[in-house]
Amino acid sequence: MISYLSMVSANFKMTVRNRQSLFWLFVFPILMMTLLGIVFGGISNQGASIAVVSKEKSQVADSIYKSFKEIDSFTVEKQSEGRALKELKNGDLDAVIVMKKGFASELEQNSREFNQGEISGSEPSPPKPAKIELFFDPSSTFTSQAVRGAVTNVIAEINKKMSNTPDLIAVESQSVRSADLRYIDFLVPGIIALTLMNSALFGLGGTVVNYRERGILRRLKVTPQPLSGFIAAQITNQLVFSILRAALLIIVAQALFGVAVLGDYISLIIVVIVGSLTFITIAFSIASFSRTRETNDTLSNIVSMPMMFLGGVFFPVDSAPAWIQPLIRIMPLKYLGDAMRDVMIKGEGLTNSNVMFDMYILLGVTLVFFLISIRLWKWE
Amino acid sequence: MIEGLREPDGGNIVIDGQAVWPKPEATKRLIGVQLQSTALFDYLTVREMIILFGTFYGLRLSNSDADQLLDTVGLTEKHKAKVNELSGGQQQRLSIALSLVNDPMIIFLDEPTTGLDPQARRRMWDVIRDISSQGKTVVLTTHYMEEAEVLCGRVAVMDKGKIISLDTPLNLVKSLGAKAKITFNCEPKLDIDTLKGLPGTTDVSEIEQSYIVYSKDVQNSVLGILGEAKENNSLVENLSVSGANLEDVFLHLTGRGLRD
Repeated sequence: MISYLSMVSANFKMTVRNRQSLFWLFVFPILMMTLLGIVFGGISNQGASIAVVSKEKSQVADSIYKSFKEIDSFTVEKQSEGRALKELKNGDLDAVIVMKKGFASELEQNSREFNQGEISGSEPSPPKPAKIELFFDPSSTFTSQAVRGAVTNVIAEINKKMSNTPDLIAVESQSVRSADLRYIDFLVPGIIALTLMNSALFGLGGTVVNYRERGILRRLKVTPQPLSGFIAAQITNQLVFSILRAALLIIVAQALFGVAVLGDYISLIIVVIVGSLTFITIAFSIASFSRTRETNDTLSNIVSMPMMFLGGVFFPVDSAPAWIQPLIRIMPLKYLGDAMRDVMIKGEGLTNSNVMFDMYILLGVTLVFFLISIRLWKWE
Repeated sequence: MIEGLREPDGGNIVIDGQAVWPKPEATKRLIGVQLQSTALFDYLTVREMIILFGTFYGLRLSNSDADQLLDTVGLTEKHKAKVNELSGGQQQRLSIALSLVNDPMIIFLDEPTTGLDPQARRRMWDVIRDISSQGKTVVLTTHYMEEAEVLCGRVAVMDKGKIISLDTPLNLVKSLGAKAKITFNCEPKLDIDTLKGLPGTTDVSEIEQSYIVYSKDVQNSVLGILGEAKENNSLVENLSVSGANLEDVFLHLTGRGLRD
């Protein structure tokens, strides 16, 4: 136990004294986040302009129009369909919401039918929804995502109003948040996930391979101290630094860009720990194959590069082409990023089914790579 | 195998009455090891290294304990230096200090002077003598025969993984049966069998351009060589006579030429 603790504190000292490792561990992620935040952070739905097209005048259409108007960050105007779609194509508009002729009466009729069904006590069939059409330009991913989110929320709100369900406040807060989603809000959880991957693969994996290459593991092996204790200390340090780095990134993002964490910190820390463990086991698996640090770095690059660009760190990948989706679906970084965003942006906790799903996937991957690294690991 | 790194496929190893295998953890406490490659943790200070290695043996060493060890290897004034700031010789000495943290009965030194300049090597010899005088058994592996001759009480000559001779340096040299070796070049070359037949000669070997003649009667051998050269109109150059040493024993036993 003393040896484990002193190994942990020795690792800590070594990392803190090594300027290069400090740079990669802390300075580089902060620089990357800050630069991307400054360059692209302004891209958001702030000033996103949408047009509401109603083919006929009705009270419902008016109230929908008003609901959008209430969202501060949207510029909303009434337009004719033809002109609105043209402006969308030109890029002057970000989204167009169209209510067809007869929308109001259809809605009214559907709701009447449903209510009558309830009153008469006959088999209550679910209400038929009346359709709203939403046109948007998928090339401006952030705006369109935000608009889609906002539209969904506004409609949900109206639906609830119409069916008299009381929890209006919760819906409202959600819609405001989703309308406020900026690139930097999307980016910060992604960057944190990315640093968990890279620090494990290149930091921890590289260090351990280096120790093996230079005979340090062999030197430790001639002492009575079991090498498993040494590995445990390495993992401990990795976890501690991961949490510290995530905290630092969030503090800087908060100070510079006003990024807020909506979820609870316990959930966030647990997501960070699980994600870190996943990539630690992947790192040890890669390290098992690598005789030299160069091999380790090359293999790590092969593993991390696709995830870095396709794992949803810098841009959302849900709208990526279908043929690439299976590849994205096997990337652990994608699930980590999703979980981080669910907690940080959407304010979910571990009990949320999406977060739980991501966690199970990550824990499964961890178990698989744990077994692989145990099986293949070489001390010398 | 003695150090607990590789399991032997046969035989027993016993240190102070304890079998090393199958569980080498117990005997690891009795020995200290300095490995050939002395890579250590960078960015730790010399003193921190000693204290850290102490904890691997369950020891809580104080700064003064660490300094005492550093004194043994002559690194006292370097106690605050980082490992990567030390010279090669200093790193080797730190590595020896680390092998002493658990106050071992036996210490294994694997080529501790390889790659060191002559001054650093002398310094290392002093350190090793010092450790030996503390009553510890030092097992030294080296390619330098003069090192073995100066430092060791007993020398085992190993060739292709087998001990082919084991005795004190003095006895090993005596076993050669020669008092001296005579080295020279000559042009044109002389017949090696004729040289072997000269009076007093015990063995002759030819290494590149030189002949080495081992002799128990230096005077007659030299006269014989010169006579032979004159007869063959050969010009003898760089003739030197020296006492036979451990290197000659090694060359004789392993069959010429140092192998790595």
